Amino acid sequence: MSDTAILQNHLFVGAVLFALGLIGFLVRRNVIVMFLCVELMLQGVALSLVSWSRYHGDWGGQMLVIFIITVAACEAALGLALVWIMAQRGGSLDIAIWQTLRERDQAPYTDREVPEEDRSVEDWPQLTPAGVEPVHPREEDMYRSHV
Amino acid sequence: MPTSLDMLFRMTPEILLIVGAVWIIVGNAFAPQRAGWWVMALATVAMAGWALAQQGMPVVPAPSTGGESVHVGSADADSVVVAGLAIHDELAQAIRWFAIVLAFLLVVMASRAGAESLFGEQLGSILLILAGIMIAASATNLVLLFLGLELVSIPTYILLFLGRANRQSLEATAKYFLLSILASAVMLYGFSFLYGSTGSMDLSRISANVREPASPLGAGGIWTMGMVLVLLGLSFKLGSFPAHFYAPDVYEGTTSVNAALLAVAPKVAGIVALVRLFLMNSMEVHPFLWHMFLLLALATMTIGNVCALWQNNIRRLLAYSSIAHAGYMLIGLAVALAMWKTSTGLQGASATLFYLVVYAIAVLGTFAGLAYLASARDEIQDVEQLAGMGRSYPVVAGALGLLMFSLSGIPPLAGFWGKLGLFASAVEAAGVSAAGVRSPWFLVLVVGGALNAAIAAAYYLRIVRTLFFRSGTQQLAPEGGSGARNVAVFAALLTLAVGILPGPLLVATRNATCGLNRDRAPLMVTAAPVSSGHQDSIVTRP
Repeated sequence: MSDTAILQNHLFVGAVLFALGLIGFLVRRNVIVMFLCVELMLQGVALSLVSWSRYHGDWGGQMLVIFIITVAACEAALGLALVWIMAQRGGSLDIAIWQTLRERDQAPYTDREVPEEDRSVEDWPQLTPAGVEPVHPREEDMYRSHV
Repeated sequence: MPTSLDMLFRMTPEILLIVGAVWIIVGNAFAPQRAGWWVMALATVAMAGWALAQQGMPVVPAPSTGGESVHVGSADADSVVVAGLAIHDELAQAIRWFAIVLAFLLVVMASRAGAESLFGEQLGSILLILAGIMIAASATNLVLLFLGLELVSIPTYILLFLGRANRQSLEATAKYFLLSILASAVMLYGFSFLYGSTGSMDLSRISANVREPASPLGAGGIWTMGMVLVLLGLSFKLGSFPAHFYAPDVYEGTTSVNAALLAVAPKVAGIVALVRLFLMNSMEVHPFLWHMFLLLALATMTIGNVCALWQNNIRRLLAYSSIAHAGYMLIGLAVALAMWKTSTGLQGASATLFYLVVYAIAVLGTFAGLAYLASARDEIQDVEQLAGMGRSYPVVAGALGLLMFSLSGIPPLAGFWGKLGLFASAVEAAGVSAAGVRSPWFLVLVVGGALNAAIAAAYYLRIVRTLFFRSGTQQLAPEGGSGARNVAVFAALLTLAVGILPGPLLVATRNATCGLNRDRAPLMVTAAPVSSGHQDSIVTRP
């Protein structure tokens, strides 16, 4: 295979990795997955740099790759600390729960509409008289394995 | 005699800052106290400044000779020193001096910021960020440029963490962190294309090699794509149009000291990186690039000013105003790119630098004033909270009012000269046709800029009106410390002084950019055989 063909193949894989990372960053909502998607983009960059470096016969690209990996490690340390605090405070890894900061008139983003309850039917729970054991449904006894 | 000791000597200010920062961060963990480490940080900045002064620098032009400049220290006047991957030309030295000044102001301003047990991290991160700016300013290689920019970003994440321990602060950190690493990745992908199309990490070669394609895959197209991606990544740092949207949320959520840092440090680094990448050593006029800058300037200005007009939250308002100012700075860069190698282009570049300095001082002072007025528990959020400040805190309110006038560009102040320089260079660019390019678009740019300045005056003056002509409904307890107040007053006085006597700063910025116009052969070591090992070279050009 000629040098150019190898270069093209490598660049193509690099571009695919970068694009997958970018798409993942845009569509996923888990903080950890978003962070990993950026790392995937960085891997795509590293692959293109190394292949260009090999093609040109120059060390510069590989030098940059080593620094990219180092910097990405620093960012991972900070990012995991951030994820930990966010999970602790927010109780979820979903990025969409963090929307306190926004324009004043902007409505908050809700992904699932809770259906309106039908208020017309009065469905109050019936309380049993104190001291009387309620009647258990038969099915519940059959299917309940323990308790 | 090129030795590595010389190179170490050239990098002494950065090394001092970084060593001092690490010392403060580690030391504060064992002996948490405010005053000691604050003095230590000031001493570190002073030592870095002293080390920089040893290298000689045209800081203050002599009043008697006008255009000539006085050199402090012993270095040769026009020497351009290349130390390893760093180049210390006029631009680098000017930005390094500016970074020292910014470091001093930020450390003074942060005298009461954050919790006491984390105060060391606060100061250390500020010092690291400023060292990052100095490194990015002197980079002549993509690797060093990347490292400098990351040294600006990563401590910023830590600083945002250290803000107030509430939900808003955390959300601001998360937004800034995720978008910042995304922008870095995009910028790096651009770097890989620049490297691929030219076969060199050296900035001077990246421009020089475009004409003779080093790759078979259509070098021109790959180079252009690299430039677009790099611009996209850097526009996050600048807070300009395609990646500006994070700014209001982040400024609203974090403390005033951090907001000041965010409004200043990444912008300085981004502008310098743009100048290095796009202007320095650019051999010919690339019409595509200046078209892009022109459109981005128009879009950024308009979005920033129009959105700021509707804000009641002063932090969001200042964020949008900082976006608008990034747009003004892009005007100068568009002119410089279109008219390169002419005096008009040089004027555009130096006007951008002048505007950058003036903007940075003004916005630093504004956030320092807000930091001073804030209580220990909450930052100032609404413009209405400032009502009546003119009566209760006349000094700080006066400083804030002066800075607002300067940011909107009212004549006797520094901001006016900044806008005048930018618009004058654009008008000049519209008049002449350099390199066969007739550019009526620059007239559109000037008209758009003037309209934007008028829009901007509306919201700046609304703040001034609230400060002085409204009666306050609530009492504030200013607990930001006297350091923040002093910085606000100092910035206001500096703005006034530069407004009355703009000459020295104008000459200094022109001196800083004149090195860019020099015809420079591709420098030094890139062609050296790899097997010859590590090589430090100091090239001095008369």
